[in-house]
Amino acid sequence: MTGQQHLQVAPRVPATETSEPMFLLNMGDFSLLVPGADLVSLQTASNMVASESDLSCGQIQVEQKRWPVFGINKSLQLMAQLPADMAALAILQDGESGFALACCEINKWLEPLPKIHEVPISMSSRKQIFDHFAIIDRRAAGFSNARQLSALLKLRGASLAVDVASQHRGVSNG
Amino acid sequence: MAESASASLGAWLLPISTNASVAVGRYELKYIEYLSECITLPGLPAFCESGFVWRDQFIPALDLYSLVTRRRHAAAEGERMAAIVAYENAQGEICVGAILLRGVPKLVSVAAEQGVAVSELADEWQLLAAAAFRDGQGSYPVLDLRSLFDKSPADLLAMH
Repeated sequence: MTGQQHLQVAPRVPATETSEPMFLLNMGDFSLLVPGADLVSLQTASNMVASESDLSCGQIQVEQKRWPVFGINKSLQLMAQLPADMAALAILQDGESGFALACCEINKWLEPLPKIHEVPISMSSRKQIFDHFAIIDRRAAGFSNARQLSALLKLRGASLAVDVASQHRGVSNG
Repeated sequence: MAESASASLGAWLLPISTNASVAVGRYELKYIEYLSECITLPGLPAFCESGFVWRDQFIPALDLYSLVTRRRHAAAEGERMAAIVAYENAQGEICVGAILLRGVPKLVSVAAEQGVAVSELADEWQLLAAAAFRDGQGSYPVLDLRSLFDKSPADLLAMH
């Protein structure tokens, strides 16, 4: 069989049976559960610097990389500015691309996962960043990952992480 | 009123706003539930953004007033009521959904001669109705539940 195309950006069922740690990102109106393997670093928005991109809220530099910082609201639109209570940054990476996602709070999820629900078809959307969710603290906590989140950001027209080292090389070579 | 079981059918009138009701078949309505809290999912239009857990199952709840008017109900906080309905999906499975209510449903008897053409309904209801009937002063759409719950919000909005 040749070249089978994979249109799904993530498996339909979250890998909750594995021992991989999950992190709970409190996004304000909803929450996300992301695998620890996708999380590069935790930072705070106070270290953020201004960005030339009009789609990100700023940039944060960690070691040799600059990561664009994005805030996502309940409508899954990009925020122009981060509200004061979204000061925690989860730096997530999916292969080559990465970004920092602003959250109200980030916690490692240490408890057994509550019942997992599938998003009903009447609540599905191509912008949706998860197919399954649990209910934690009386809010939906969607099982998402860096790939699904970066797909949303790209859909919104955002460009993802800039490698400072390669940027410098590009400048010196150019 | 005299009622013949063979000549009349039952329908539930479901108030979805202070002045509009829709109908479902007598046996499509399974339960009326008071909701103390709803769970909302991100990235969705107001009419389909919420649901609730009932008997350990997540039930999507549609706000039909919001769907047809594209307006959000002003007082959406506090306890709400929902009609839990059953329908058969495209795969032939029995599924459950809910319709948010603004009043207590009423069971009415509907005789064959009360039936009217779906095309006589207001435009916004014609694509959501499987049938229609007249009762008193008004005409009521009998909801096509599969069409409502077995479609994505984008597909449902595209019908309007």
